[in-house]
Amino acid sequence: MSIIKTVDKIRSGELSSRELLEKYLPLIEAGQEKLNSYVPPLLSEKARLAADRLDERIKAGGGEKIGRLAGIPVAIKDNMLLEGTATTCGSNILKNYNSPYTATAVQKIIDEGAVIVGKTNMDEFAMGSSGETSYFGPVKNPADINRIPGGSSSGSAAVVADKHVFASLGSDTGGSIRQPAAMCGVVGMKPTYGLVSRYGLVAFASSLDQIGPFALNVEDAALILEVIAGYDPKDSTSYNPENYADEKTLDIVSGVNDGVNGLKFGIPKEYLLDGLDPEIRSRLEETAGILVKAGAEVQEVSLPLTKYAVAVYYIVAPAEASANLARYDGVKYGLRTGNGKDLMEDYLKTRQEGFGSEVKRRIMLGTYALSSGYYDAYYLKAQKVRNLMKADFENVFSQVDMILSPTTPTTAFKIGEKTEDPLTMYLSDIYTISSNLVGIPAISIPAGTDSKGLPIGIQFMAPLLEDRRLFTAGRVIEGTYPNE
Amino acid sequence: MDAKQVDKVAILARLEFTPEEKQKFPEQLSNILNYIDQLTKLDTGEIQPMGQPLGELMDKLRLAEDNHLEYENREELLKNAPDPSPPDDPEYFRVKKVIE
Repeated sequence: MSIIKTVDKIRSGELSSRELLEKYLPLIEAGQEKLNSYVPPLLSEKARLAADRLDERIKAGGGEKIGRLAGIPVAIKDNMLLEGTATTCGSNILKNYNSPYTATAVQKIIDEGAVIVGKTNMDEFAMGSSGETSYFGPVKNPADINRIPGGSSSGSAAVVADKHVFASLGSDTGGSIRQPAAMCGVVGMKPTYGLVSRYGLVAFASSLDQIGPFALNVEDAALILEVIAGYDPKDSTSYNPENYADEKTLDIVSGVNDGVNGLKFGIPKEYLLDGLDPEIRSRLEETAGILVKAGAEVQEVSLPLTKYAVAVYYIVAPAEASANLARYDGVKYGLRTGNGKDLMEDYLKTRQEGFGSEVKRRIMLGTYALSSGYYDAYYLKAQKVRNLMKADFENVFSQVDMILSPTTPTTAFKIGEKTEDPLTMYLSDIYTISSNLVGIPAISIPAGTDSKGLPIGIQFMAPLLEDRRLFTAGRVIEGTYPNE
Repeated sequence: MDAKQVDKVAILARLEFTPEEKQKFPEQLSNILNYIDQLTKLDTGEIQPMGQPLGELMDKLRLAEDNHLEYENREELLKNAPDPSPPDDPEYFRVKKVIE
């Protein structure tokens, strides 16, 4: 399953988009049955219409541009707006929300001919590392349906791993693309902050959130990123490459096969401490060996503030979330359960019923950290440590081109195993959180499975706006340990 | 965070809890805050706070001129309101009376 090869067949008329879609629709339905990977309904009819329209254009010829994702079945996380569909964000409070417009990143894949087959299930408001906090029930891992697929882009990882779509979009605030990608055994990538427009993405933590791709291979992931990246005046944090960036910043696909000869990689010694599964550690060491064989140098580096990353994150992200989620008040949109005696009681009842426990916990943490008397000790303190962390990374990137690490400390755990202990759940994001705090791009590449047959992911991190390097490195190690 | 503090923050956050949440939150939130408290060990006296990752590059973005644009699809937005004003005056969100 390669997007580029399949699009060639569709462009040449060897295969129609409708034929391709009809081949995949039964697999999509079966996947949903098994994995609960979509928020119902599936968008099968919309997809058929889109495929037919595309086929007519191809048949008519006339030199009209046929997109780089022509006819490719793709899924999007249900926190991205697609006009004419509900966008639930995995929450009761938004279960009847109709998207009034389409997110920029989603529009960009549609403009290139992608056929959107469904909106994927996710942790409520993208808050979770396991796919278990969704109002629509937990998502299951295709490698073992008794285990979690990771989160919060749980469905977006599961549907690609189940091979019933070619790619998907997710969002990553503290690892929400890379962690499920690792646990499901697919490629998942978080771009540099500001590289992909967040217009039409439901806001969780605005200084951390980024949309990024899931795919079965590095080249396809690079293609999706190339399509969705770029300046968007509708997002005030969108990065304008015309003014500031290297002209090759957005030229992602062309460098995929450049190889790593002469590049330097650093493994942070703090990432190898207790809590890292020995099987993942030895896979990391083997990966380092592959890079060396390909002409790269691998050395030890130090990120001394690593142990504070989770603490900083669980102030910054909840603080931003508590502000962003204040808009769910039962007035402008979403659920209103309003039989209260006054407006205040309507707010309380609506939010009580509308939000699940994890969302409430984080709003509580954030409100507390921002409240009078605690702001300096928590929020301001975290913002200062965040700046120190940035300096840590700048120091490492003065020594090496990329950081090499595990994506997760363990492989997929059992459904229900960590739901009672939020802190333990939070600590499973230890390797992915820092790149969101400092804004740098990172990718998770599948590196085979452990002795239980569960996928292992290897992570690369690169300096700000050096997203293309990640694909070059990923390409060198992918396929070394084919799943099954 | 004890039960009393939980109640106080909940009002600030406009939240109410199920009985199960009420029982679990004080301990769970305290555990998380205790973990976060390790940050106090770090000396950050002279360090500037960092609000977003792109630093000065983002400040440059902010220099762009603000333009007032009319959103074209106001009606569609109002359709999502739980209680919009009547169709002959479709301009408002309705809520319970706040001023007597």
